[in-house]
Amino acid sequence: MEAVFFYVFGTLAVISALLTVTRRDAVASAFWLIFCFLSVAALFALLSAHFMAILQILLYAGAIMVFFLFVIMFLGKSQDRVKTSDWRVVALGVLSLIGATVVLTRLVGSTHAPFPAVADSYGGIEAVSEVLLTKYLFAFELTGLLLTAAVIGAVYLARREAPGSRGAKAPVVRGLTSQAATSTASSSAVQHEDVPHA
Amino acid sequence: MHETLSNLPLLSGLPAQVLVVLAMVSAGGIILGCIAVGGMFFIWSERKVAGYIQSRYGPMYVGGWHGVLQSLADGVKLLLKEDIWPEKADKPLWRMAPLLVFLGAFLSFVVLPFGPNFVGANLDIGLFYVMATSSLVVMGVISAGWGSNNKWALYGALRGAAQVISYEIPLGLALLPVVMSTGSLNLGTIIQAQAGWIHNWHLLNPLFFVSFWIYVISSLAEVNRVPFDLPETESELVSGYHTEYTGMKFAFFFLGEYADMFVVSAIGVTVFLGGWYSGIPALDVPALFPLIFILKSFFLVFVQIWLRWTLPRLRVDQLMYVCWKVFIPIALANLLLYGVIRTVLS
Repeated sequence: MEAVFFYVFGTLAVISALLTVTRRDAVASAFWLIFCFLSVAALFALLSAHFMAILQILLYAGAIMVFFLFVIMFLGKSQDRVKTSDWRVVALGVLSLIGATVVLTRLVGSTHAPFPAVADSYGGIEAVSEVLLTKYLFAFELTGLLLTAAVIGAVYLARREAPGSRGAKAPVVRGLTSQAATSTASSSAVQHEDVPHA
Repeated sequence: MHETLSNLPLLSGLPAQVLVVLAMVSAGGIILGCIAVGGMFFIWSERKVAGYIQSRYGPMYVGGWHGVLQSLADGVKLLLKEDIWPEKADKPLWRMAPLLVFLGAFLSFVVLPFGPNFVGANLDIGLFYVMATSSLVVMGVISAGWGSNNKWALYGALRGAAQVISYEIPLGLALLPVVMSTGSLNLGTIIQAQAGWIHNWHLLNPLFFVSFWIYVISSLAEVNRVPFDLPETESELVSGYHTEYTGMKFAFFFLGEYADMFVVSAIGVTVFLGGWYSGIPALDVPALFPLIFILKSFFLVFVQIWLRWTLPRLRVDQLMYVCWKVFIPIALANLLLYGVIRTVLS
């Protein structure tokens, strides 16, 4: 039963990934990418890594792809098609395909013994959070710092100064997650777009 | 559930795989039926409450008593309506949108705990799962707005996405102190921590009380209800992201909205209002659990309806201000305070 679901979702993930890179319309690509993420989440769930599956949906399919779509929609539907006949692009593609094939064949060939079995709760929330808050605590906190720096940078770049207030008190956004900056930026963009119609 | 099915006389001979699929299909069918009937009831009660608040009757004729079958008649009407689509719509996206919106609400029902043994899937991370499925609704809203090829629909969709994504943060932060206190994301475990007399309900803990109000207000924004119905403001955006939809496609948006209202209410009941417990130990018999749970959820749905017909709507900037500069700081402070108190006390 599990094998059936694995092949179904695995095939769906591969097909939707292929469709993501072959669609001309950027919005269609983005939706196929969401579909791909959802299939991968289903694969996580089959491995009884429920926590990872939910994170995959919540963060990738939910939050990140919404911002992708926001950017695509603000830039508008582009009419001109991307040139794909450029020989450098083709060469780069062939090279990376060869590289990926070599790495994958080496990887598959190097595992003679089957992987050791893991406990059923391996990808569950308790197992993940315990490792994250003990063994990898430093790296975890460092990631938090990195994200905070990114937020501050994004807010700094996205703020619009009121006319005649150069050097005046800039809008300060505190205690936000990485979604904050993008969302504040997009909401101000919405207002900006609204002006001609108001 | 497939074990239960295998005990039925007619199905006992079937192989396990068939039974699992059968169990999935029948569970899905039951949930779908409940959403459809519940949705019709909510729409009828919304119109009756609106009528009462505005000193009029609301639907009175269809179905005899106070127009109870009005929603059924409307459903039939929507089924029979001509399906019109915009000439230049992005067809696949446009068709998919109502299904995605409905799917987001539908999937959440799987983990709602109507009783200790009356839950579709008793997931370890039920609370987290509900938040993830509700983010699928955003996808539906965006694809509706983009696929319609209509500027009002697109504005509505962009507003809706920005709003839902922003308010997910205070929503999650408001639930976290309770999760810290129960040490579990399983909805059943959270309810069991509130057994006994009413003072065990999380609502009556001062810090959780703050969380509860943040949760209720943010959940209004999550389901795009007044005073946060900016994605559909009829005075400026015609009808927002579902402007171009008619017939059954529109009905799916509508049904999805009411199912979502029930889901956020049920989660509120689970986390703060004692779930299936009545607050009086003598009344806590297993047979009454689903009834108590549903009645409490209906009450919160009623509050949402009540607010809709009482309050004006916010502006876009006020909406973002409330979220980022009021709710998130309060929720973070609340979370920190709870953590400190818990550490000091233990």
